Amino acid sequence: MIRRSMLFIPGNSPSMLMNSTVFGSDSIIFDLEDAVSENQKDAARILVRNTLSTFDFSGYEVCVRINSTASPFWKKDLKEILKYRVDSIVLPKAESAEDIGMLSSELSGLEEEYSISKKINIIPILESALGIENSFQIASAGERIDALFLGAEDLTADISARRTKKGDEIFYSRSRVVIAAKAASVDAIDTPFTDTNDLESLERDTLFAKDLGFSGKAVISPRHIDTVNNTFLPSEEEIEYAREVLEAIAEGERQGKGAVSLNGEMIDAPVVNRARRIIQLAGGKGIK
Amino acid sequence: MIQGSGIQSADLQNKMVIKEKEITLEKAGALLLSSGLSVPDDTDYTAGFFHNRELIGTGSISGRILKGIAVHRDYRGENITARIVTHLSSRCLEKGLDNFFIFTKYSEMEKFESLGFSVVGSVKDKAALLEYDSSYLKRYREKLKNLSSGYTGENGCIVMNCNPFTKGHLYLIEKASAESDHLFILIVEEDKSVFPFEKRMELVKRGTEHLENIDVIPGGSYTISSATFPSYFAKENQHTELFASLDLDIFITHTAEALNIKKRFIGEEPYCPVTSIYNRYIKTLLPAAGIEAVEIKRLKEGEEIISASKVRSLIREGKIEEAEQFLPPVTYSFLVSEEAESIIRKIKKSSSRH
Amino acid sequence: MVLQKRASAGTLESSDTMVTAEPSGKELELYVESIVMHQFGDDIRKSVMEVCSELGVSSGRITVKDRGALECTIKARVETALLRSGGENND
Repeated sequence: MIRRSMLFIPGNSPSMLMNSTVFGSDSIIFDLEDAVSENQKDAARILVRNTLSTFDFSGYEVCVRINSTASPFWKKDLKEILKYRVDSIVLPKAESAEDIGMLSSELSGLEEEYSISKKINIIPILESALGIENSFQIASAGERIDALFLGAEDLTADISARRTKKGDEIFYSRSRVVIAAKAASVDAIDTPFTDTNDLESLERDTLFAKDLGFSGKAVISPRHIDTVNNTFLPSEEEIEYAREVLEAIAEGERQGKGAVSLNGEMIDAPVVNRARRIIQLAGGKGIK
Repeated sequence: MIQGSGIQSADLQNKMVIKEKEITLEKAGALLLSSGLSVPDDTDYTAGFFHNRELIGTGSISGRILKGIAVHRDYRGENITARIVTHLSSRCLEKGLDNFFIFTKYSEMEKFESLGFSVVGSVKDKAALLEYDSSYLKRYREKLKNLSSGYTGENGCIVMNCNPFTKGHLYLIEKASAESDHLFILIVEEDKSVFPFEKRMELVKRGTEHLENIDVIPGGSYTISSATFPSYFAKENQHTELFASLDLDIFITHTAEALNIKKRFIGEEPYCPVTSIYNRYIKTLLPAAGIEAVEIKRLKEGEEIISASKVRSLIREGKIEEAEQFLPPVTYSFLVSEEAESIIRKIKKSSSRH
Repeated sequence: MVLQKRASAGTLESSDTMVTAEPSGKELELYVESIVMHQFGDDIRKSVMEVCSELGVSSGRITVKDRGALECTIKARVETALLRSGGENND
């Protein structure tokens, strides 16, 4: 799944919801949790449900951040929004495999009730010390897990660290999340950058996340989407190299060769996979 | 690939997460002052709106009036105001109020109109009063139009509180009745007077049965009410000139127009500073709108001008019998009846001007 | 569904609609005010009535103050107000 950017859209804001299809992020996360005050949870889920049924989200990954399983809202959230196509459920405050298990059961029940054929993914947000500690357990808690998401705002509050733009305080957590995600063969999504106006620092922050191994980043402002998308795009050289790799493999197949080399080096499976992924990324976004 | 940042529109800007909660008026003080508003002193509820824990907006409710609505300079733009007004409006609606008002600076009038409120009255460059449900003013006007539909002559009008109904009031009414083809007596409906509205109206009706060309009607929300003229009832003279202008703008535009009023009668006011300012404005503003302002000298009993506050003083001092000379029989017999006991007790404890 | 108390939903923000629903003991009465009343007044009434019908609400007073909302938004707000008024949404 290509998830370079995941845009949060507040679930109770009609003006934002109705424009959700024009912003150009790879994924859209309709937020029923932090963006919605307690006494409007009911209003938000109905509004999001109607939005899902009205607009055309082809080309996007449709996600909904439901309320945490510790809240009285999450089951009602699911019951309403799953009446229409939702690709992934973003689960806040995930701390253990049990949390995932609970959500997964509920999803299975609703998939049956609503005759939903495609299995719905779960993207847990790790935003507490315990969540980070249990990251691998959570990442491997079932087939539905498709990515791990780092939530630095709540995390730093939980560990009494001071949240900064530079991000030293979340360095360990970032690495930990990447490792746990890759060990479980799922994506790692970085925490959103919260200064909507500072695009320069955003770029630095995003590049750093990419270098650490994250495959995408959440954003809270449409203004951040371009920077994030472009940062996670493979570079010209990477695309060129990937093309060469795939051509060499194809050539090797035509000639019946078992092992293939490029520029004097053997091309093995991980290189091929990476090349495929890069071409998919480039091709999927219409870049030639 | 779609370029997200290529689309320029305020609507597509990041929607900030703003949380609201009840706060004390003090907390809102700095924000109000920096927005050029004074801190109201009679609020029932004040809400604070926070972004990243910083107070960026506030609004208050005082009875049926929304006021003290301010947004931090860095966050201006109608969205937050809309949020504040929605919150306050929902609160009013849930408390069972069908209609409520916004009192605001004149320059903000359009903004609140665009939020769905409709203008009731205004004072140029100073203030405006708007209401949530425009059907109320419409119905008020229709009711008055129906009332006055049969009367094609010179209609007169008096607005009175009658707390309680005295010989002075009766005198004014009789004079006005003689000088009008038909006279409408509007009784101030706001129940901030010690004699309840229903009683005040009843006494006036009974005490004027002998006059054939009058109608005694409730003043409603648009005549010297907490919305149009809050300081009328306040202890100090707060912004009296402003409210007098506002109340009269509403009177001229709606009440007088719907009732086809050509004359408004007022009693000379020696005691109450608020009323005397109000009368001054009546004499200036009404003629410009084609309505004659007729000031009638107060009735004296001997050397004393008859006034309701004088009567209340006597009652406070336990001298009801002394008050008899100032009162029409209908009022006096009420005062000495059992029904009046609780009111008399209240008077003995109070000290308001009206 | 029978309406039990007055409840409202939605906001006065641009592109939204504020809806108030309350019991009335009479047949359904609908009051609509909109910044696009001319063009969409009838459509708005139709949307509201559709939601009432879906929820089985046949009695009450519903007031709509619309600020240019799309149909899906208006319907969402009406549904929310009705459910709150019917006492079912105890979130």
